[in-house]
Amino acid sequence: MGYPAAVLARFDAPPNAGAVAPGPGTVLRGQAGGTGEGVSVAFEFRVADGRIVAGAFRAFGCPYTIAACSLVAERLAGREARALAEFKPLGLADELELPAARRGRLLTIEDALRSCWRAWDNKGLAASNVSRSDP
Amino acid sequence: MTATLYMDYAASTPVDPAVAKAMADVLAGEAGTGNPAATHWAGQAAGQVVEQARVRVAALIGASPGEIVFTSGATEADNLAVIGAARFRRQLGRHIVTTLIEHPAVLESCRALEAEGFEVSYLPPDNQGILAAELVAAALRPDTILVSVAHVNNELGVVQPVAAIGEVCRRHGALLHVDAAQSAGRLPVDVRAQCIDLLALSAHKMYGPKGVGALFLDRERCRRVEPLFHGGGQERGLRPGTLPTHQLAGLGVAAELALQRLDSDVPAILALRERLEQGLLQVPGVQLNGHVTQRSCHIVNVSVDGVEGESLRCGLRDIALSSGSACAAESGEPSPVLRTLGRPDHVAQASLRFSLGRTSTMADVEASVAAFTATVARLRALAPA
Repeated sequence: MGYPAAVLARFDAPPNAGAVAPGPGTVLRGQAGGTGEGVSVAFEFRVADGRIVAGAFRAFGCPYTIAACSLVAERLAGREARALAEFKPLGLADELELPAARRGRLLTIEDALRSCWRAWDNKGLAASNVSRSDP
Repeated sequence: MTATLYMDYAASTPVDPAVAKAMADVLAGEAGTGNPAATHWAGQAAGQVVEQARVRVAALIGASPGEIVFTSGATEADNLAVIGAARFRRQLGRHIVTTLIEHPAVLESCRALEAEGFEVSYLPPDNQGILAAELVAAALRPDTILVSVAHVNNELGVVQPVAAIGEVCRRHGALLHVDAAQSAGRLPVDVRAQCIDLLALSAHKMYGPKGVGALFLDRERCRRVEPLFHGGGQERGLRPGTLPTHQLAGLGVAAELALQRLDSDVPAILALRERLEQGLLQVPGVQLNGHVTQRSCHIVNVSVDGVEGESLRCGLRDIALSSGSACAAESGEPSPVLRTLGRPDHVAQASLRFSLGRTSTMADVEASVAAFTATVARLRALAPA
């Protein structure tokens, strides 16, 4: 089981796992995949003043999936909300030494990010995807 | 958790120190020099080692020494039994019966025979992995020449009713081949009482060296099979090639020790298995695969709901264990055996085989249970609702 050290480190103690801490702004949630498909990922991003101030994830998947989700949640913090629509998780494949057969997992992650973006785009309308968290 | 926790005795066992010493003694002595087939003094010394091993292996399974053919392991013995027996008896019929949960050594041999025009019936076991003798009886046809069933399934540990299947085969006239890689040295095996005509075993599953095994051929019912190799007269021409004297010394001592220790090993390992099973099954959503009681003392196979299999194995990577057959583990595919039992792919993929042995301890078991419990909890907490 030869996982890269960077993957194992995030798999064993994944930063950003769980839920974002309470705070000001809007919490966007998005999810993609399913356990029957072998991969299911969900993200939460707190957006304040148009910027992502915190990200968190939950994942059912292989160690590469968990490590990639952790990295995505970390990388998006500090960016404009639009990054949820533009970020390409496939760009992490080399960094995580992802085998070619596993790269599809990154597309599931991308789907979950786009789901978060749609929640932002429809903020206030799609109650199931967006929740306002008052300070 | 310790990095040296070993829970994969069904894949391979540590070499017993007495076995290692016997092998080293042969390598260092005159028996290590001569070719066992040679008639000079050095050859005779080597030949004595080989024949002593033959006596010891025969004793383990209730056979006569002249019925033992040495091979490179159980996989080769299975190939020689299935392919060799089928080809040798092709004039009598071209139908073979086996199960859907056999080791790849048997299944792939059967597929090779299908390409030669043989017809194979792959019988499904029940949802606990047991093949009823009545099912075998119903599958037999006038042209059935061979039935192949593993005594103990390598993934589930279930024990098949070999003696009852053997009686069915005897009444019909078909040969019974038994893959005993998991049972030899772990369960009493008696080829006469169990009506077994061909039996494959391996040294490294019973504290012997890797790379050596044996095939039993009943002298009355299956004296010959068609050899797979050509180029020498060793092993009655059934398995040509220079015999590995030191490997056979190790196999012989391992067989002798296995027979001597059977009565003490089995209850000790069973006690460990029961505690392991209890500890694993107390985690919610964990299901035992295979029959609850009709199972060998050394294997516990469980499926875990709500976790992804690869992450489960990665989380437990400090424990040497398996997700199924070690011979098929490279594929990463869900176990065909668990699929046959009706487990969905994602459940079959999140399955683990823990297997115990002579040197396992209760501390190993407790550490495994603790690591398993913590890893499952962590991965479930990480998963989306």
